[in-house]
Amino acid sequence: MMKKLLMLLLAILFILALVYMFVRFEKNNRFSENKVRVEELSPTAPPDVSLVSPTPTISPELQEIENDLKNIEKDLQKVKSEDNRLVPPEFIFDLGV
Amino acid sequence: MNKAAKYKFLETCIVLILMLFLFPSFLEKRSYGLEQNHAELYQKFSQSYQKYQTLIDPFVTQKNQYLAYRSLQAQVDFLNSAKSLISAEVESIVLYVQFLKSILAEATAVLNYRENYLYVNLDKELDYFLLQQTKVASLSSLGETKDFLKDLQSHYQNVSLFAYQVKAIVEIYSVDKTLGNLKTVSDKIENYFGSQQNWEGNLHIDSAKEVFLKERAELDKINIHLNTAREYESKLSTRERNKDIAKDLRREIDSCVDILERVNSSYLDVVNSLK
Repeated sequence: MMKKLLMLLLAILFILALVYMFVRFEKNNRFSENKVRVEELSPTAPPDVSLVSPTPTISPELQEIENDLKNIEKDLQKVKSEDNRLVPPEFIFDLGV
Repeated sequence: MNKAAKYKFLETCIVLILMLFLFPSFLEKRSYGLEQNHAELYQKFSQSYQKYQTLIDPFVTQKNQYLAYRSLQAQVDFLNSAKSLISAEVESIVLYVQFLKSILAEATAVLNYRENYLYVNLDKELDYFLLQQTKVASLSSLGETKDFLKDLQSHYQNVSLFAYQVKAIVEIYSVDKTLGNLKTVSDKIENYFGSQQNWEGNLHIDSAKEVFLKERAELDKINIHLNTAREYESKLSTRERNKDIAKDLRREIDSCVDILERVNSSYLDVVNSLK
């Protein structure tokens, strides 16, 4: 009886551990994406006409586009600066005698 | 099952469960470390390279003394100074290869670079240079040192090629990804125009759309520059003048960045005019 109970407990904990691992990895992936040099943008569905307000406030779609463009602007600043650390350094390989 | 066996079984279960919970945390720390490392690794390399450079003058002085006197003592001093220089040299190269690996790891994680041949080759060279680190102390003659340096040089030519290849990959993939992002935004703007049916006939909106369509067509020009950049990348080899090829490649990347900046800025103007 004791053995059966322990086996059942182990099985439940194993499933919980798998779920926990999955959640941690998902979280980790999201964290990595936030650190990326060039962020990937996700396409969104076309905006609904009924959402457009006659008031002068900016629509959420335009706001999203503007934010995306500003992010791209930042990414471009990074791409623009050449990484000269990747130009291999010079070394001496000749004794000269 | 007796009582002792039950406790043993329970203990094993607890250890297994703890390991299952701790394993992801361990992995997380390792991958985070990889991403964080390249700046630190480059700093370590820079310090090591500076130390290497401070050893060049004493090496040249000992060499001149050896060439002037050809005495046994001068030869011994020259050999010792050469060994110190080579030791610092190998240490710097090891750190540089580790730095290259960390940059490549970032390109894989961030820019979706999927090839692994560079990893394999960098690992091979890293193993070689780590092995040479242990051999420097046993060099006992100038002839042996010369041969050692010749072998070292041929392997460093590979490292040098890999550095230019990593640079090309980072540059090309960064532009490619930014282009992809800008195309996604283009689609969003197009969808936005498509959804605003009540604006038909509005001259202000029509001109914004015209500007948008003209700028979007500019994005096609980037592919021409990117393809030329890829051609330059394929020309990189141990026999070529990689420094010149890398400069030509960078020129193509700069052209891509110019177009991307122009289009991005025009898109922002279009969005502002739609507010």
